[in-house]
Amino acid sequence: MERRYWLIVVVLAVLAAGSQFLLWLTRERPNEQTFAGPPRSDYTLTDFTLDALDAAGQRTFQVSGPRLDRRGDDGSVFVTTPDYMLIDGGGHPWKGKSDAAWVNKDGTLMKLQGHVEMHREPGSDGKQVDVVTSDLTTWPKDKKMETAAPATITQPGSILRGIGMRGDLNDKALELLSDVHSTLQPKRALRPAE
Amino acid sequence: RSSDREQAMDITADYQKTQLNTNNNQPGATHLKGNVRMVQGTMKVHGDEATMYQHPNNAKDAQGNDLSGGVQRVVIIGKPAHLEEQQDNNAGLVSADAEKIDYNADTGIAELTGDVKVVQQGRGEFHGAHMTYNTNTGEMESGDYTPAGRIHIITQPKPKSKPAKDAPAKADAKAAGTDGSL
Repeated sequence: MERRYWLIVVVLAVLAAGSQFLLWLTRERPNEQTFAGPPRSDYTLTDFTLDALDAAGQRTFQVSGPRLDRRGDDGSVFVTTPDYMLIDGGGHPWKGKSDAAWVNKDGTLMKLQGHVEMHREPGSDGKQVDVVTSDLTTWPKDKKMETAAPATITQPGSILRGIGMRGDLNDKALELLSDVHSTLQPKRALRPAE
Repeated sequence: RSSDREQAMDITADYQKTQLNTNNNQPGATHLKGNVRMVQGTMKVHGDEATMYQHPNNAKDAQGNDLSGGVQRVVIIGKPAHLEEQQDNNAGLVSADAEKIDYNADTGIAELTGDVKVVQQGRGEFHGAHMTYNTNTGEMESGDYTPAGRIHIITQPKPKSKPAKDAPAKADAKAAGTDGSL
């Protein structure tokens, strides 16, 4: 009885080792060929400035930066630490920067990745606006933008915070999608006839 | 309290849409939705939705002070919308409930419509369909000669004068003409 017991144990051990070896043999081998970092580009630019125009020849956005990689197969570009400029409905520039950017081939979609800042100078049609958020998707030709990340919008006298933001630069409307917390500084209190 | 207007206004809500003031004569507007709460000094406001209008660019007050971007008017809607505030000179808390509160931040006057109830701590209570309430002076105006405009006011009785055992002291005071009662 004793010998039979040990025989079964040995057979089971051999089966376990065998199946483990087969598993190892048939594992998925990582493709040595994959290329780390942005896909291989067919050309790169250094210290560049890119101006995108719409059908009427109007500038919709501008991107400049230390390096641009253009991807061969889909014509998209990767930009490191870009400085960019979007144009709003009133023709006013909104300038900013981010950690990285990806622009599709026809310039209709620009993804600003990582930390994103946007700034609009005060002008005849409005006060200064500063937006700080991250991972902002923009549609320059439609002058729209959106992020699911927390966002802070600062104007002289007010700070608006929320999670998730949508912006339409045509009519300069900015939406905070949830968890809104805003602070408005008082104007000099108006005294009624005392 | 009138000093409230010199405090920052703190706002929380579920959703906010801000229309940046687009040209000099169009005020910026901010629309808030979902559990809207505003606090400014002793004034607290709560409602389901609110729309806040800010002064347009380069707006000035009568004294020439720059108002641009300042809060001009706030409209709060709720079931009910609620506003409460400490009165000046420690005259107690005033709390107001209505379906709609239209508050003009420049003049401090709030217009309440729809199932209005205003309670002035220790002084009285008001029920009606519509009321105009001056948050600086505490004045209330209501009623409009229509059946729906009927108002219902409850005023607190004056606190009873002290019990008899103080009477001798009171008698002397009366003789001296200093008890101060009406």
